[in-house]
Amino acid sequence: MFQQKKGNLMIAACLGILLFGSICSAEKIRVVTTSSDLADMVKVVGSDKVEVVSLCSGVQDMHSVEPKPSMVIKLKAANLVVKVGMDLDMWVDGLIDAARNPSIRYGAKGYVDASVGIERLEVPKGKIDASMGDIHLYGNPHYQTDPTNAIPITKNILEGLCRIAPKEGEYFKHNRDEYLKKLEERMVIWDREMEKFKGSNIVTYHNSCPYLAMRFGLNVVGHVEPKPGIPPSPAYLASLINLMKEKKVKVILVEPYFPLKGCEMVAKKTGAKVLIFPTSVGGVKEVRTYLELFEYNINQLVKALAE
Amino acid sequence: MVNRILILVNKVHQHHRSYIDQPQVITNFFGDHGLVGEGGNLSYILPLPFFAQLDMGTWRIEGHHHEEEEEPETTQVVDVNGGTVTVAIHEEHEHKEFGLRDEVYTSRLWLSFPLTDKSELEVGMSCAKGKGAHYQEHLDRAKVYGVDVTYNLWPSAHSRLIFQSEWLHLKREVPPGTLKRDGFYGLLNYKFNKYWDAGLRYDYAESACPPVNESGGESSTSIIITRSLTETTALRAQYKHNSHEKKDEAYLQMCFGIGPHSHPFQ
Repeated sequence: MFQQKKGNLMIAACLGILLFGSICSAEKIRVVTTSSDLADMVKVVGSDKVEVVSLCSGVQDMHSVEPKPSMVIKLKAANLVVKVGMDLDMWVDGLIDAARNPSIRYGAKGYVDASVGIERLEVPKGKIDASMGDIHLYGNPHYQTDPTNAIPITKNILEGLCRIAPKEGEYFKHNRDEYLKKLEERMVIWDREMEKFKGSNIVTYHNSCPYLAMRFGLNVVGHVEPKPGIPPSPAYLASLINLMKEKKVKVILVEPYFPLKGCEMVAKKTGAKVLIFPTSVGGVKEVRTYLELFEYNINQLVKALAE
Repeated sequence: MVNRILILVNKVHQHHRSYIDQPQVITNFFGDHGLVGEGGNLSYILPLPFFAQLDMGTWRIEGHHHEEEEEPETTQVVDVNGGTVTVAIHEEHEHKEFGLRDEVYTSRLWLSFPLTDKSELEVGMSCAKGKGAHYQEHLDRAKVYGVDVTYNLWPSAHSRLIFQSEWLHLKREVPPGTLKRDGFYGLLNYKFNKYWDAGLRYDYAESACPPVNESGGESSTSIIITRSLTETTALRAQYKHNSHEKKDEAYLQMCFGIGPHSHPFQ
């Protein structure tokens, strides 16, 4: 009799623990983002109400992420998906379909396209074909390189989180407001630091910095890739060397995942400096947040342009 | 819906494969075009902590018909029970292509386990059953069982190592008895950077067609090199040595997409 009661108590305790566990985990909104920058901003806005995972790390090239089955499981369990959009992370569309999670499908309340409201640059006009390289129909998708784009991005995230947990709306809004205040303070400093380099000519490996250039008044005069996604030929590099000498280019910005060989050769011939330039959180180990990304990159740029 | 069905490599769109021709076992067991049909597929992700997907499908695949106007010659053969049955005699070339046709039923269990942040192991089990491609003449039914394993390693942003192997077992029931045939392929592919990858594939496949008491397979080795020109454009070359027929083949393929597009996850 006593044994039976003890057994019943054990079962009840186990069920209680399971129920408690499921309630605790149910309180958190499970968010999947396609980039590490978006994951950082979701953490800021959602704070302790969210569990975030990014499908792509800062050392991965967003253009060529290979979908994995483990990503499907993450999306299957998600309440909210936040994608970069503008065709940069098209690979996630097939994963969302494969996850068969109706709440994160396009148009559902758990679907957020972070590019909504972004002032798009380089939207192609007229005929578009493969001879133009890997061109994006909706414009250049690397909008995260302008720190002020955190304003529309976090707005989209806020709206998404509010759709999932409307009762926490004020809490999310407060977190976002605090974050934007910090961003504003940092922008004053960054603008001041970059002011004296307005009009400086730079070269980037890939066409990933037009938003950064526009924000801080830099001129991107060329790219190591002749066209987006196309590797440079020796003849092209020779013409780039001439252009850089003519335009007095001091820096070449290269994302951590692109090859350095051609860039170093060009740098050697022109006297320019190659900067390993992370464009996402986690691109280098010193960059753990979106604000640290700009702290790190602006520091690098200021030093290199001042030389 | 026309779909590529079942079996690990059979379901992958041709331009997504790391080689040009399909593995010999797919040709021998499913025909030159692989297993392609119209039908429906129920897919369910099992509620497990790792990826586990179960697929069950039913398909309609057009059969092959002999183009003879006159009645073919017939002969009598002894079946497995010692009785005799009458079967048609056709030209040899017409017997060479085998496949599953008419009503075809398929199932597949696909599991995946992340080993580290940069590597995953996928394991699959597949099964298909249906009538033979020349059922009217051969009165044959067949089942194909498959097991596959894929190991993916991504050492850096643009490099990737794939080891993939798939083994298939065919049980083809014809009036005189049951043919049991095997085949497999193994692929090792390494993507050096964003633009270049190279691979080695070994194929072994027994023919689905010889008489019951005759068995024998053919093996071949392929070397494949791919140059990705853009995200949607690639140039691929393959050299294949068939040691059974002492034959060498070379293929050249140009893949291009009309603009960026996404595929269903496979």
